[in-house]
Amino acid sequence: MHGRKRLPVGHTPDRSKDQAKREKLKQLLSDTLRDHHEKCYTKEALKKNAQLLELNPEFYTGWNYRKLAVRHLIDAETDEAARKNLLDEELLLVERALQVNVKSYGAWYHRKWVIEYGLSPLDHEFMLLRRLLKADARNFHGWNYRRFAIEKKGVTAEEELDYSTEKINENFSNYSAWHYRSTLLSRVIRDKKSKEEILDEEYKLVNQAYFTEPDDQSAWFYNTWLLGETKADSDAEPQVAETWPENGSSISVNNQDGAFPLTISYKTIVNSEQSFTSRTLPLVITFKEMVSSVVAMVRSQPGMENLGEITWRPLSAVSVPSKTWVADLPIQLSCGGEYTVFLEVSSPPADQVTSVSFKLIIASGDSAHPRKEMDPKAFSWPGKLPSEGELEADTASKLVRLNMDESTAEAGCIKQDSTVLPRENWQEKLLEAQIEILRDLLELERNSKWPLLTLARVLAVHGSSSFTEEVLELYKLLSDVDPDHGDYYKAQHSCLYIDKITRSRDGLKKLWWDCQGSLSSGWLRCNELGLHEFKFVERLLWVQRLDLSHNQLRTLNGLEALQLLEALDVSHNKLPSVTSLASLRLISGLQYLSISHNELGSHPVDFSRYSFPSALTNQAPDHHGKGSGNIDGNWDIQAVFGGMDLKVLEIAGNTAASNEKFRKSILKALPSLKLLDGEEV
Amino acid sequence: MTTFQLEKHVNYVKSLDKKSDFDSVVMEHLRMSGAYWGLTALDLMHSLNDMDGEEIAAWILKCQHDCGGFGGNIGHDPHILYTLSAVQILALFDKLSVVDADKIAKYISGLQREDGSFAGDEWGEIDTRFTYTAVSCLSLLKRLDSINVEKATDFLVRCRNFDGGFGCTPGAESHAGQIFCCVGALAILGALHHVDRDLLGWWLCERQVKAGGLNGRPEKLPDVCYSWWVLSSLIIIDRAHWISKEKLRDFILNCQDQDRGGISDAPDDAVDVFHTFFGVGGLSLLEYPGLKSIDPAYALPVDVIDRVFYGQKS
Repeated sequence: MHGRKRLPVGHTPDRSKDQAKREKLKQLLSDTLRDHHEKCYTKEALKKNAQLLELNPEFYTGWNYRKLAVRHLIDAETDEAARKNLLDEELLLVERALQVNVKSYGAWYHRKWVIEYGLSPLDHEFMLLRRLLKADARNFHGWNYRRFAIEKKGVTAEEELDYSTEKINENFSNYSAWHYRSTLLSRVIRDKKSKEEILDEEYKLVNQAYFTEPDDQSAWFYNTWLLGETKADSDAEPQVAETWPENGSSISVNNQDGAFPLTISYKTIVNSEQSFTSRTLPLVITFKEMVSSVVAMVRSQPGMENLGEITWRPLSAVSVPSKTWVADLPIQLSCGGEYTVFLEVSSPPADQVTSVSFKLIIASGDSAHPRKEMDPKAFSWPGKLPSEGELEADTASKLVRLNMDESTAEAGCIKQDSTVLPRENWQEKLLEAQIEILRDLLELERNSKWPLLTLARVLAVHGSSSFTEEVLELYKLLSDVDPDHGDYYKAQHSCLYIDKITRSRDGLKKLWWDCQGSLSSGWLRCNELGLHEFKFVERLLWVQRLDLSHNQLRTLNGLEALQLLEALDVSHNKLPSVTSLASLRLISGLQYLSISHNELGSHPVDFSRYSFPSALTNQAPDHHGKGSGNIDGNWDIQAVFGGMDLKVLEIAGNTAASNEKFRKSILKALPSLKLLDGEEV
Repeated sequence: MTTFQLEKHVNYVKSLDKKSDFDSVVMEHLRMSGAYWGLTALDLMHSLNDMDGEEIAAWILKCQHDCGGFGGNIGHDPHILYTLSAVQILALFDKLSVVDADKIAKYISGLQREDGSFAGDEWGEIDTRFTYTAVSCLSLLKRLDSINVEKATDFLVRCRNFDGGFGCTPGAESHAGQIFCCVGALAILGALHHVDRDLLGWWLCERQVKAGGLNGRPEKLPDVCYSWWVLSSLIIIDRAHWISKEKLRDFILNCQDQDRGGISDAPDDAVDVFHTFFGVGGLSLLEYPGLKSIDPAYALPVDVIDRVFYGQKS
């Protein structure tokens, strides 16, 4: 019941009137069902059925019966005019039914079914549509039927554009017409030249709409599409985003707790007779878009054994197509020396080949000894970041900012600053014109949400680094102007902010901290940055210890690309559930994890339930397969933590941490665990 | 603040079965879905035990046709929509074993078209609603392997629009109800990577109007049913924190009939079982105290879904 007023309490409707209507409807319904079951297709029966459908066009079985009856009569009729007459009757009935309920799926479909006979003139359909979309310009049944009718008539997208222009000019807030336009233009834009011209015209159209209906969403959403179209094409960037090891880098592998740049998180190859001495080095490739398969040839100079066995696996918390792919390069630690490893990566269907080579230095001499086991108790979390002042005053502080020279930075894969690709002239022109218009609009009304947001987006697409601070400020302002959507703007802010600081070498250096006295490798500290999501992970593939504490993170998706990660601090965030940690299970070398002071156990709703492969998403890994009845109440714990190799885990400060069953399930899932919340297991 | 009238809503839903006014005849052809809405609402309000599962299951079986599909009521034609409702009700009562899953799977897989889409019944109307229905139903029956999953996914992707949303067929305008169907189906198919979460999340969170309620498309009026369609989609893609939950909660609570129970589309409108279910479901997604948690993709209580997929009772 939509839009029907509630009767006042104590008011009873006029039963007698209702009663008569009810009896009539009931009778008609039972007549049609009887005729349907008895396959009675007489004119008389059809007439009663029409009465029924006019009273309630939603009786789908009534339409089904009607189709059977009409088909029966048409098949028996040889005269084309008579057949057409039969169908005309149907079209009239549909029109009467639509007058009762213009949103009746059954009525609309019946009309399509009749038209499919090809005996009815289509011009009449366009007249009907014109009338209907005049009365209700947003009726999506009508728009869908129009799509059907133009296809039947063979109207081209170019011709149909005029209709969308007409509807938009009638009313700028007709979102249906803007949408329609986007689908038509997608078919009209064929090459760069046509695109340039079309986009220019389209921007003119939306600009008109901004000034006429500045608070209406329609044109603003359409602008987002135009912006995407303006951005596209020029991005003829290579498919591969980043790799680890990086092209031209040099990686030292040894068996001790070495110094920065790297101590590889060793992973024993299972089922190998040489498991004691065989180690693997993770190779990571991230792509700009998700790809469904990877071809990557690997060879080395001088030749290494086992290279032929390398297989690439997708690293994705959700499903097979993945941005990140990883392979294990087997290393014989007994074969010390210097190697150059060559990778040739491509991904179907584009098959553009990216070549990567890096130097691999394997320290020899200690290969017969297993890696010294770290005492988990000696491990310490980076703790609260000391202020700049404290840092200088207290030189004895265990935590000092690493004085990273250029060569260390290079070796550690901190790359040269990422650059934004130059836009083409026409793109720049369009974007700058938009910037100007939006600034004008904001002159008229300073804190108007849509121009502010659109300006932020246009500036971000423009990409000039001189706009970065302004965009960040705009998103801050937006979360004040429109607090209901505050978290959206904060997420955008967070994304741009992490882009800014990870893009430049200087930005990254400021985040790098060496933790003296505990373990030799340093921490990348992205704590207290107001992060809502941790993006641009592909720039940080070399990171082994990461501090993301005191942010606003709700998910760790994407972190799985950090295959070298051995310690992660995500304490004091907003992680709502065990499933929000799911990507961590893909990082096999992770040993130290703090998830303390999050929201685990505080939410009846599991917000990450569908960001994670499970039986519910028909991607159940074997160990929690379909219908297995032996899972206790915490299937998510087994699914996420099962198979992980954690030594130290902090969970205090979550509601779930005080739940004995929860702790027991954690311990069951993590047999390797040595310390839970600082206590020996 | 207005409080949630649990007891009144329970009584309202229970009273529907005995009603015999004009509206109840108008609804007769979709009694199966009506039953699903009412019974799921009762379960979310911890009152399913008051209902006779045996009797309901027997009635459901009477609505099944030889082809395997279910009609909306006894004597009405089979349709994929009512087939899902039937399976959902049986799942609520832990009675999925009373039906032949293979027979239902055969009916549903027979409705898949070459392009991966699904027809609603033998007459061939195509709509992404039917893709959701097929996928959800087969997944509950553990029979997803009976259809071409890849093509089903491709068809959903073809229905994606410039705003990140989805429509009923390729080229059709985004609509929150269709978005639930497509996002829900993609979630169940393990193919959520086809959804641009930030783009769609933004469009969905802009469905919240100043008064707090959600609409289904830009520049439309808010309606309680979108508390379900929009919010469940936002939760599946983990963007529900982008709206004001307090304002939405208050909007739903204001649509209650405080005296006679039930929830309506908008404040002071006539209540019905459809909006009662979506109002209660929306409140459950908002973590309203005293309600069972509902699964955002299958639209059944979480404990029912966990029982179906993990064989556990919580």
